[in-house]
Amino acid sequence: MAENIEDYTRYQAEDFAQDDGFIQWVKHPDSRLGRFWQDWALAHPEKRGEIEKARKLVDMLQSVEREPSEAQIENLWNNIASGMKEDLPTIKPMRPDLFQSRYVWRVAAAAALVIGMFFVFWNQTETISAGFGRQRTYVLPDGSSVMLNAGSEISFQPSGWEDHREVRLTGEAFFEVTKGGSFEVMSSLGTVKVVGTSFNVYVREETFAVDCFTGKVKVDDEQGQHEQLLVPGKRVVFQANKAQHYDFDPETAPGWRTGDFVFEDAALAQVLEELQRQYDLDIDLKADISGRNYTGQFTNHDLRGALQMICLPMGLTYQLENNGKKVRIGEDQ
Amino acid sequence: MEDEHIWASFKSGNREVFEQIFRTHIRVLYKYGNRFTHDTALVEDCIQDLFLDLWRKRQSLGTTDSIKRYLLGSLRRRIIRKLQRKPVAQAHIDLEIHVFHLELNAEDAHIEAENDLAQQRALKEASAKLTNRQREVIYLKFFQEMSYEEIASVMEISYQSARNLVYAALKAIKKHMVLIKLLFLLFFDRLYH
Repeated sequence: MAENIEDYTRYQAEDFAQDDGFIQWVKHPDSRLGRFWQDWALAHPEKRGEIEKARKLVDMLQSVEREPSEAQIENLWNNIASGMKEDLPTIKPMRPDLFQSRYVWRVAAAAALVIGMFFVFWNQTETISAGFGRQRTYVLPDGSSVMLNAGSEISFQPSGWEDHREVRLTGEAFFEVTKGGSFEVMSSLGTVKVVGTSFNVYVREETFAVDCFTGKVKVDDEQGQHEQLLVPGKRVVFQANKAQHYDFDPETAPGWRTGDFVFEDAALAQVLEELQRQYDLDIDLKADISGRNYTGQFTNHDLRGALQMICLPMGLTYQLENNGKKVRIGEDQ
Repeated sequence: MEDEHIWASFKSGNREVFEQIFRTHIRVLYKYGNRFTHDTALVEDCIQDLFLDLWRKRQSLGTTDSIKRYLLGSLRRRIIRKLQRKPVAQAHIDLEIHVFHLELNAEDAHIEAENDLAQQRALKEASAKLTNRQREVIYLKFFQEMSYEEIASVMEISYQSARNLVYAALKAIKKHMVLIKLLFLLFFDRLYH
């Protein structure tokens, strides 16, 4: 505590409630940190209201959890223990009548190995990801290409790729698909089916958006009941069980692939998350941004400019710290 | 330090220590795992596979200073991966990457029966308002009492993101509490003054 003296007098309930020491105090009042807060609360009667609210928050955040029964735990352990025996052949088999001979065990182990290897190789999944602060292009086995935006990941199975071209996506990616059988992009929020075309898919938080650049794209949400057919220049956004349609110009549309991030009435939280991904930035947010929407754009090669583009119209202030690795965003008082 | 020794001993092939690791952490793993899905069998499978893989690959595993963190992170990745591979038709609710169930509890909240229903509803709404990531981070912070560093490592996010998520979640809950705030304050005045 001593090495990092915070100004607790300016704390609100939610600030207290996220402080490790404060949580300790509520949960374990006799601990060392607990005593610190006990004293602090006594010394600051004016903060009593906020402190009680914070206590309430912490208190409420516990619930009855379903514990596994002893029988379940034993059962789990027995399964694990019998699996472990496979590499400890000295231990006697459990059912001596049927599996008495070593020979049977060896045959079984060999068979398991062959089957196991088959599955390992057959089902081997390739995963390609782009971390924060970088974008990445990857060429799939059939020559189709995927450009991953920062903070995105695809996975697919290379075996049998020509027969079923299926990619699982989290985050955002631009696909250029070569002609061939059907090509599917699956995500937690919906799927995209195409034959040969180029399109962009965005899957983050609760938003699923697809832009069709060339060819035709079939899009459906995770319930499989809202199929849409997109032609070039059409964009569909699934959000809160609704599909919204937009037009864009595929020739001139700026986009993340050229380092331009354009938003129209987008949730500010979504905008800041994109900023965080592009610059691999720690954002210390001291403003309530829920329900606030942003229209504007920023680029991924000028952090200060980007911050200005976002903060200025939203009435926010920013302060860069830690060599541009961290930004503090607050209300413009 | 303690954990490092236990881990090293398990890595060298000590079965008793391995069983001890399992028995120490199984309850936490089980409870955490079941918050991603209602499919208990899937969670149990993932736990079994996790421990079997640990045992088989023990010699090539890295070191860790927190076994709990290591296990929670590994289980989390396994469950999410498994949930995503399921065909859509079978389980579309659980398919969402981030699904995380969390009920907030009014029973321990120092208030007696009177407005029970209204409170339960308000709490339910408050937790429904959170994103899945917020629910998860709240769970790790307040139920598992993990540090922000540990949360960051389990959820594979940055330290600051962990802090921001907790902050935003608390703020959202607080906002939702307006409905029952008066009631709370009334009782708190009696309880704590």
